[in-house]
Amino acid sequence: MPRRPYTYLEPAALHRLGRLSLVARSVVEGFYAGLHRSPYRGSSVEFADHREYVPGDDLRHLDWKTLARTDRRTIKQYEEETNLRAHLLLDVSASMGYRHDANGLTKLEYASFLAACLSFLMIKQSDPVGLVLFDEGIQAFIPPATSAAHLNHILRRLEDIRPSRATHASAVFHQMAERIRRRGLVVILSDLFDEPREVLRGLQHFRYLKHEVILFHLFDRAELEFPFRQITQFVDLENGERIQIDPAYVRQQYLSEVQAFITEVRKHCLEAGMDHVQAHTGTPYDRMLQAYLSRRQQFSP
Amino acid sequence: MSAFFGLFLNPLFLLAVPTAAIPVVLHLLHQRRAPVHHFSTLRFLKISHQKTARRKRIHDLLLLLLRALVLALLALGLAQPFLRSGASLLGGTAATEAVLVLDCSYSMGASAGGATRFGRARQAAEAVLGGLGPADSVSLLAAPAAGGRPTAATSPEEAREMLQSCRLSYGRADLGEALRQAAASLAASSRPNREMVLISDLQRNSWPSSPSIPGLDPGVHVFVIDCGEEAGFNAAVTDLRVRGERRAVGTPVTFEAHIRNFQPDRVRKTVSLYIDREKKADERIEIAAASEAVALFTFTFDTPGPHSGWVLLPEDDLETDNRRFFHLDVQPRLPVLLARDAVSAVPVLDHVFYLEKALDPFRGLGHPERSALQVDATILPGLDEHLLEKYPVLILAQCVEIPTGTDAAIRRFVDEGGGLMVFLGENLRPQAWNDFFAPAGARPWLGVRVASPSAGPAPSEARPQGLQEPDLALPLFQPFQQESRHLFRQVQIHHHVLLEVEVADGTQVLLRTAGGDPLLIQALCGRGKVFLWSVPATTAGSNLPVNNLFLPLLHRMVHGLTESRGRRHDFQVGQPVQMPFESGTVSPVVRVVTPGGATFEAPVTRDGRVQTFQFQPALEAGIHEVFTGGEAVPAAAFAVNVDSAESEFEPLSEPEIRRLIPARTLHVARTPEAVRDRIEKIRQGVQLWNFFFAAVLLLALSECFLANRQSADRSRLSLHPAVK
Repeated sequence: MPRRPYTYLEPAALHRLGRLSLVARSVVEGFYAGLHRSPYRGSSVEFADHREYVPGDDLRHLDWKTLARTDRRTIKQYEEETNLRAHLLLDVSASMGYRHDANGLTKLEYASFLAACLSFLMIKQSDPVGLVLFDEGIQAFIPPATSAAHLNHILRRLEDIRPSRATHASAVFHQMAERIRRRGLVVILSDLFDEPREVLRGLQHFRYLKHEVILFHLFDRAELEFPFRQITQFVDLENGERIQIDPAYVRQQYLSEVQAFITEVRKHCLEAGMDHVQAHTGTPYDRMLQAYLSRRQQFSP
Repeated sequence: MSAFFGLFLNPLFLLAVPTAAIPVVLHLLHQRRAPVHHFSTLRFLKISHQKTARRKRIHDLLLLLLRALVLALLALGLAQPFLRSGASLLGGTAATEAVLVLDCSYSMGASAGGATRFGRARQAAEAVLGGLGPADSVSLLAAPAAGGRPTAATSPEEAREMLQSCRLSYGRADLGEALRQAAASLAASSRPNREMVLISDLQRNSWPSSPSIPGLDPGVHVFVIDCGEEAGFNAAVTDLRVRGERRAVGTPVTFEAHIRNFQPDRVRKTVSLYIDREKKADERIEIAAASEAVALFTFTFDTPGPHSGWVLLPEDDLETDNRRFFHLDVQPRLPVLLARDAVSAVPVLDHVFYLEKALDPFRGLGHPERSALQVDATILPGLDEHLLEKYPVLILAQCVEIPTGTDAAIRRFVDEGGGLMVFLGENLRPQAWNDFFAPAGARPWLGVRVASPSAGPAPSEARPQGLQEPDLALPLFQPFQQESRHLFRQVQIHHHVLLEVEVADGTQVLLRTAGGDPLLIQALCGRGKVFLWSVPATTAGSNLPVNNLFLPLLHRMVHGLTESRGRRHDFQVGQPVQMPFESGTVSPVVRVVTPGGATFEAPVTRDGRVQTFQFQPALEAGIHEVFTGGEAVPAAAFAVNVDSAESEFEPLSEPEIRRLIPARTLHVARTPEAVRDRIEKIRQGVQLWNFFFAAVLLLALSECFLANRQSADRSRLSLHPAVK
């Protein structure tokens, strides 16, 4: 088995690499080479030919009608159609611009890399992919397409992103759910620091319209561990609100609150049939993508 | 405030107590310098902060308190606090200031079981001193003592030596005053342990009736050690009265000894009279339980001069009160001066004829030595101060009036202790006599007024009247109680001067006519005495001069007049002695030699012909002799006796002691052994600084624990499950 070049590609190293396209290519190509088949399936699968059944074939593809009529065991062969339309919804609110480690990535940068990887992966499979940047509202919308130029357009847009204002994800989700007419894949990259119930209601809206939803729930490691030691005056990145806190006292409670938040989101996603992928900015992309795609394969034909 | 600082051995370190505020200041400064961190969202932080704020406040407050306490206790510990009293379970001995009040009253000399109370008191004091260390200080107050003040504070060793020199006194203890002095002495001390130890037989009469120890610090421990054993047998000579101190040779003297039995059983006692160190008589008496009896002795002195003696009871449990002393001066013959307006050519008509016969019956019979009185007669115009100086008794017989100048001299004579007898005749001038009795512009000298010169009928038609029954219990009439009482019934009054008497203190009517008019009046004026007859000393007014009653009554009255109240010859222990004396030598001081042989100088004041010395206080019972200049023969002497109230053994009960000593901590023990352990426990005060430092250590550990808990919260940064 060839060596997988992305295995030890840490986000910090990626940050140093600079350009998104190069990074995305290196990640996705390595990953793609390791796959046996595309996990994606089109909205329709067309019949191509019959062949003789050999032991080991999947019985789900046995042509039962021919067997009944002619007593011959034949297997149906299909031709895949990669017409999956994907929308990448990237949260560009101020909270996504947070990073605790000066040498690390912001959540927004991490999400951008992830979005670039996914775009590269999909376009490489000829699946149209679009990009939506949002905070309080939709900041940019790039409709799905499959061309290389479209990929470059997406990558350039990603490189130009700057964290902006407060989040109002739920409104954006409702808005996007109405805007995307054709069923497809909705990939959300966000910390979801908004009113949880509203956000979850927005996600539910996508599912109601039969979209497949993948939520990349992104955090900074400091948000999950709260590693602060001394009394600190914390300033909210989104609204400038201040609070002075002795971390020693609130840490346990804070971690409980964050865990409860994540648990609630995950539970809701599972109940609604959405994929919830939690990640923090220190996690290598491949490990996260592999875990995600592996789960996807379980549901593929 | 000083009491508060007195709780610390190094109060300077108290200045460091404000360092307790340092944690607060640091906390405030630290809060101001908090770094700013831009965070993605405050959503979870705000919720967490709300939920943990109360716990944090308590924790912060506790930590702040611990740190402040550590600093404050450290400063307090360095100031070396101590506990004045309390249990000694935790060790340490604080310095002690003790005042020992030792009851030295003579009741402490009572013995029981072979030991005296005073001996037991000394043992108790030794025990108390034995528990003191060289760093402790102790004062000794012997009650009663001269001045009644504690000795200067000294070491226990020196106090032990002083204790050995303590002797029983003849006086009575004023324990209220002694405890006040002890309290004042302790109030000035700043030592941790302050003790007042009273060692006494707790005799009731030594105490005030109400609590009277002002200024007793609540921190003072009071120990009362009762050294009075079960009351033994005691009888005491509580009083000795000598009828007429100015006695003359050949005149019987009556000694009246009052004996009190303090026991609940009837007793028989033999009372002995000693004069000039020789036993002269014994008297056997029986005394009912807890009551008094009188032993009477009659003795006739056959030599003039000073005579001393005592009345003695047989030995019992308390020796001191078994003897009571007396002293008296016996005159060769008592000089009496008779005065009238003029000398009569016919002797029997002379106003003093019967008086001279009665006062000196041996006159002209060739036996002048038999006369008890030396009677001289004069006329009123020749009476002056110089003449009066020679006589203790003056008799005025039927004077019409008293000349101006002479009246004042007579009044002064009486006021200074002289005796005056007056026979009023019907020839008197009432106004003149009333002026004598009540001089114009001055307080009435005598509460008597002449209402009428004659109250009886004319002699031709007179039916003489007798006397009302006299009160024979009066001292003057006591010799006439038995077979002689009929003599009063034989008295017949023809004429008398009508007097109005203002009965008051010192003035009383001794005899009255059958009609109720005053016949004989006794009055006290200044230091002297006056007898006033409303009849003359002749047969013109009554048959009294020729009645058998006249002679003995007149002699008794003359001797009664010599009972000068200013000439006290007996005093009580503890009282100042002030006594006039007669001496040819004039000196600013006299030497007083006590019965024990000690000699003291006493100042002398001179008022006219009278010299008076002052000697105080008398501390010994017995005969004290007074010498002037370099003379070897005493010019005077006086007797000092104990206060018989001290003979009563009744002790106070413990509740009464607690009422009288308003101390917060009062320990009463019946034996020295019982109180010794208690005293030792109390003396071991607690050096609190050890506990303060222990508290500092404990608080510091607590602070470390709390702070580390915080620190642990900070450092426990394992990956949260959400990250994994």
